[in-house]
Amino acid sequence: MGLLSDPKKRQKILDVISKYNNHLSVLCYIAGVTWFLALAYQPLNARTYFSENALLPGLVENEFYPELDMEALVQEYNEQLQKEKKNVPRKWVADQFTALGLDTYIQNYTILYPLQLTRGQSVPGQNVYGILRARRASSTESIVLSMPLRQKESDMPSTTGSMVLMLALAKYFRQKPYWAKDIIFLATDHEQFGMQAWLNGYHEISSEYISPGDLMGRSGSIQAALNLEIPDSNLKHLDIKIQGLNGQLPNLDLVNLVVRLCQRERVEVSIHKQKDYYDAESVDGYKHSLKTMMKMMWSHASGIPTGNHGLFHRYHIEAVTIEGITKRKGHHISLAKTGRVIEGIFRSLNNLLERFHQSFFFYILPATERYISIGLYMPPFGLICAAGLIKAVALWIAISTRTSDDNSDSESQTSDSKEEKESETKKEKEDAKQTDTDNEDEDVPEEASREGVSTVLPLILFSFLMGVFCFTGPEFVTTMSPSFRIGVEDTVFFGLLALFSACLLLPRTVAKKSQSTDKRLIFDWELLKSLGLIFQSLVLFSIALMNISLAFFLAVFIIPVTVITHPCKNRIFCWMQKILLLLLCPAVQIFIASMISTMEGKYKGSWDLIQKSFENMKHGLVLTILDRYLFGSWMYGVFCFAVLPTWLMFWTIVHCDL
Amino acid sequence: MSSYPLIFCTVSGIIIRLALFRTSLPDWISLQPEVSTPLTSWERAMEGIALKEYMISPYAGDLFHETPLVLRILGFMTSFSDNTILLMFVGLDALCLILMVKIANLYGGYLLKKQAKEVKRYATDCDTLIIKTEDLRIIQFYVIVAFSLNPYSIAACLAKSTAVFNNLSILFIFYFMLKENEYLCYLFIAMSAYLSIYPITVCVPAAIFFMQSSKFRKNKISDTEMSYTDSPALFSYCRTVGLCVVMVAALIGFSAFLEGSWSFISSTYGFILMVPDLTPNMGVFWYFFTEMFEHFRMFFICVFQINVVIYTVPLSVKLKEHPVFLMYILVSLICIFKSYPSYSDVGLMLSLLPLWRYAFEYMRNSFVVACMYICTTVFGPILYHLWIYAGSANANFYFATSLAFSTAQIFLITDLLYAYLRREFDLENGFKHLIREDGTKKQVILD
Repeated sequence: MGLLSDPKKRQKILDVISKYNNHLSVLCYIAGVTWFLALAYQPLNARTYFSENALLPGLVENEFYPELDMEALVQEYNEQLQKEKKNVPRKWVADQFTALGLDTYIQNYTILYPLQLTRGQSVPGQNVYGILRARRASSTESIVLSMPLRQKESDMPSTTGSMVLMLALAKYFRQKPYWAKDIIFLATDHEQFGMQAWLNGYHEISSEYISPGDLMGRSGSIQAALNLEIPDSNLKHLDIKIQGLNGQLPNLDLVNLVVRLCQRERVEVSIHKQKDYYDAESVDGYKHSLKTMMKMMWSHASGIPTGNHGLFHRYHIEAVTIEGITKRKGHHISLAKTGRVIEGIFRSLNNLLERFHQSFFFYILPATERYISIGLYMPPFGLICAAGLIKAVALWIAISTRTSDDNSDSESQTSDSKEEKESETKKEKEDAKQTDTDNEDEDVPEEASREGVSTVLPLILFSFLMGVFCFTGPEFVTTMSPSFRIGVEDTVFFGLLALFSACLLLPRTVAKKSQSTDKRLIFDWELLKSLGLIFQSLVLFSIALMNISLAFFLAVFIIPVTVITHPCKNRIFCWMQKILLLLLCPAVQIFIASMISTMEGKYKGSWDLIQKSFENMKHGLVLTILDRYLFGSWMYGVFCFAVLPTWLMFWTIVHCDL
Repeated sequence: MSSYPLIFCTVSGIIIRLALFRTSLPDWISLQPEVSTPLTSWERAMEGIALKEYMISPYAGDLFHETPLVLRILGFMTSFSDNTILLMFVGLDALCLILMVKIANLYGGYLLKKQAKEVKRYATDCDTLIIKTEDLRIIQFYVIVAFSLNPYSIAACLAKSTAVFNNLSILFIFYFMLKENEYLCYLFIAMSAYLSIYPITVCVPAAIFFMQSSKFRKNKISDTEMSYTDSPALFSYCRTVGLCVVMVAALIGFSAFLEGSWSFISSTYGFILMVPDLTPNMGVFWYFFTEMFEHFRMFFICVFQINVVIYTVPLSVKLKEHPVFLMYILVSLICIFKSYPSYSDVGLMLSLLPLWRYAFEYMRNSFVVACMYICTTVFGPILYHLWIYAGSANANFYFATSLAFSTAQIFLITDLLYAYLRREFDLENGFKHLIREDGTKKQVILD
């Protein structure tokens, strides 16, 4: 077992860690962050390739030249939208589908919003879908082409183009004999809620909040899905949206497929509205791909789907959204050209022999044709986390040598590290003596309660208890809110704020009262810090498995502060630590995150920015909690059970009295 | 130490179990492959009972693998309401806890007696290693904590894992052995073997134990003079093994009588030995055999199954003077290497670990092992989700964690073994051997 059984080698490693742990931590952190960011540089990442040979992308000539008059259809649809301003023209859509000869069905579903958002009333909605039955196979497999229906007054960009394209493609696809998979044309209402309801209905899942009703028509298992968000005119280029719920990404092959077919049709393609830089190996090129990567990771980190495609991932269905970006000036791409791209994608998907399983599911994209796989990004991420782990191990060594020193009355030790440790423990003892002089009458129990697991366990337990309160809090406060006549957003926000203030006061509340002096909080802070750091690394690695972006951002900001946190005598230093920790607390994290997101939009002056981001935060908080109930998002749970307790542990460490 | 912490921990353990039954956690846990294996899953048990009610042999299909006696016990349990069943499972856990406390007490007494007998051959300067009566009370406390607040045991209880019967009978073996109640001990060895085959190896330590105690009773000889290979000893071994085998045979015969056919043999014991169900679990079998070419399968099944029991031989030779410890090590090895291991076994193994607390200070890898346990326990469900539900990770990810988990368990056991033997060595030789002529400390290396 080598390392585990050879005490000499082991002692060497332990000595190195306990002697140089600070240097090692700093080195690991800096190296890790630099390495991670350097991955955006083209020579350090890899070019995408097709792993699934069955896709045969672009092997056939795309022949979609619409017979329908697309312009007329656009006008007709817009007129329909004009007619019923607050509703979407489902009836018209269903009629069109039927006229094309699709098996058309309308799904009626109801959504009951949690948190008393609609005061117990359920909101009805309708999805329209038509199934084109494949000629060459029994309906065992299918592909979905979906689009969100948006009413005229919606804040979101119009999706008229999607509707028109869908109809034109349906007409075209129907004439072709080569389909081996059913194609489902799906138009959903109420954005993601409608999509979730349809997916629940299709897979016969009923949840407390979404009752999908019966789906009258079905096809086989869905292999892949493409969601279209295309406006009617002035199309400049296409943007691919990939991020799904809980940070799940579609198979890289599907993304490649879309990119490849766009290029084939000479349609410009981008991710996060960032096109590829022409000279990627230059400094500007690096900056550009870093920006793309950061944008991709930022939206990935939120764990919120960027489009309706994001909900498919949970059902093991690969899906992406294609969004049309408009611009008044310059050369425009026609809807027909976009249609040819989609035709190509569908013909490739039609070739699939089995589900997407090759290629990558864990990746970061710094450009449309470059990817950073899990094997590339995990080592630097591991280095960043190692900074915390090294410190934890060093503290653990310090604790174990401390106890063994106490047992055998300071035997002569040779290694420098132990001397250092001894001097530290001596210092501690001196400190302890000082405190003893303060309260002489009970020095023995005080001295005893300084060390050991029993002093730390209650603190850990309380930290997790606060997490549980935060998790169940929103539901609890909103049941009380109607009697106070406050909006739901405010109730949730102020309820959580109150809970958070309680968290801030936790160190004071758990402090023991000693007889002579005021409240003192005394515990084995080294042990708590060591455990806290280990728990933190565990949390970060667990998150990294599901959502590397979230884990990366958390690690980059949290680790340096948590590693340096320790209780100290110096007032100024102590306050500085407290401020640093406060800047990193979950509440401020959320605020900063919403501020950065707001900065992307429009705002006037810094005050307006703060106000807007405050509003956004309140709104976002409720939405995150809603996502938890309706879609099964984990974001809120992760923050309650992982991020908050870890932070609280370190918050109590700063408050430890020496 | 007063008895309040003991009571507090016991009660909080029971309350946690009861409270968690009210949440949605049990539904989720009972789907986790680490907790409910094909052998212990509650749902499969229900299937078996339902089949039986329809007068179809539950062993005809490929779902039910409990033994006929357990089938009857479960049938009895399911005649009550759902809530009562939950209470019964908590009650079974409480019974386990009571047994563990009793075992801790008995083992303490056994240790003191053994120490008093052997104290003559101990070195003079090893006073710090001698066990005192106060130390034993704390063992009891740790056993209670390690079982009632053990996440593995709680998870197994929440999933209504039927492995609890197996655990109970193993605990009864320890209990009756330490009580020196020979026949009941054999009965429960036979019962454990009847339930899951592997524990038949436990009759080796039992044989050694009862041989020792009978010899002590007769001629009051000390440990060093005792021969383990003379003819009365051999006779005693044969008697134990023979009795165990007869009892197992009787139990199986009785089951066949109840069932009216022998068909259950292949779907219980055949299922355990041939490992036809390769659903993922925390063990090492499934991954290996999914990758296996069919014509090597038989050979490697033999290799893997022999691996479970082969350690009995060397360990029995080495640990013949410590039969209780030997029994614990064997039970733990079975927990690690058996074909369908689950958290229920891990819970049992970890709960009895504090019995060897006096050797803990010699353990060297506790930090690493603890970290490995925690990490693999957290990563397991995440990677399972990513593999099965999200479809983004694959079997290799999950197997990596289950392999790491097994490795952690093996580290724990080897480390405990090392610590135990190291302590024995120090007891006999004192601490003098550790110091060189020039006064510096020597290091002990295990090669």
